Amino acid sequence: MTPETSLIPDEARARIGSETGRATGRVVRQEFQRWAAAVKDRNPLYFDAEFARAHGYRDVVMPPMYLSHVTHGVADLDTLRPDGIPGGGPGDLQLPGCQRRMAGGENITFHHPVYDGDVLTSVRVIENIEEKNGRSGAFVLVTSRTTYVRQDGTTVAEAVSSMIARP
Amino acid sequence: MKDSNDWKVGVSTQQSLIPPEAAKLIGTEQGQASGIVEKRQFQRWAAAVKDRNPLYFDAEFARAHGYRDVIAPPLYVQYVTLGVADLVTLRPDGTPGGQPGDIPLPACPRRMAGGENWQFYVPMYDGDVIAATRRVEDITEKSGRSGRFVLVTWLAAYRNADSVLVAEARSSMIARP
Repeated sequence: MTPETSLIPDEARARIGSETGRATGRVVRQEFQRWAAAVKDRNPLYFDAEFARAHGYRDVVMPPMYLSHVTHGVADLDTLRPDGIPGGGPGDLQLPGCQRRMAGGENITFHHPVYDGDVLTSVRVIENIEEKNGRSGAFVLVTSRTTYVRQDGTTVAEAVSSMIARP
Repeated sequence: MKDSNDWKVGVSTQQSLIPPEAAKLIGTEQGQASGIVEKRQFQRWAAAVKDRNPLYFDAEFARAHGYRDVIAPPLYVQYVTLGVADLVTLRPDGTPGGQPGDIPLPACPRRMAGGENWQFYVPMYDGDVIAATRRVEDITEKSGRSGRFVLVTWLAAYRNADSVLVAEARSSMIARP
């Protein structure tokens, strides 16, 4: 593939390694318990402090997959997407040759338990943008890494997610 | 009905709509609950009801108006003490099921809300712990144009961690035969 036909404009390529999003939020027990109840995961580690302590935690722990919801802010309902979640994704990355987008998966590594009252900051960085060729043609794979840092500077979790953009 | 004689009141030959099991609840407390006021939650609530009052969102604005921080929307107080409910226990409209302590009024199966009056005394801030108590204030039989009914009145009190009364709500329910 020659540079002239690349699906990745120079301005997009220049974003590799740059930060595309940062948000801070407080972990609130009632919120993560409501989330756990809503996804039907009544794990006593999330609800029963005594049980959690008997398993080596200092209090009930946050459901790990609640992670990405901690740093959601306050959105007006009419700004939500049709599926009810706030807009997002890899910042304002422009790929004019590839308007069709789909999620390409996410890998999350959890390093430390998270507790009520913790303040987490998520920092999202574009790790790579590459052009690929699949059976159905050329596409662009955008990989982002989101690091979740606690108020004391400890990285509690990292998420690597990818987005597929097609012409 | 076996116990129907128990329902009679002296002044009328008509059977009272209020059985003794219900009458004895007058003055009793029905349920206590507590919860923490959380800024993000009350701001989401305010955004959802489209009330972007800067007193709820802008700490500087709130301080310029005599508050020490952003305040919670007053009507949010009733949601502070809601706990964690499984979705299958919610009513079709998405609200948590029944207030604690149903009033046994078997002769009056038809129920409707009879209104609610609020008094707000002190502002609520992020981090405040609110305790709610709910007392049955009165259960009376009335006669309206469409017949007899029972009016149940509750008084809910919301106090903060210093036991200061934050708000009171007097609500009523109408029960009809």
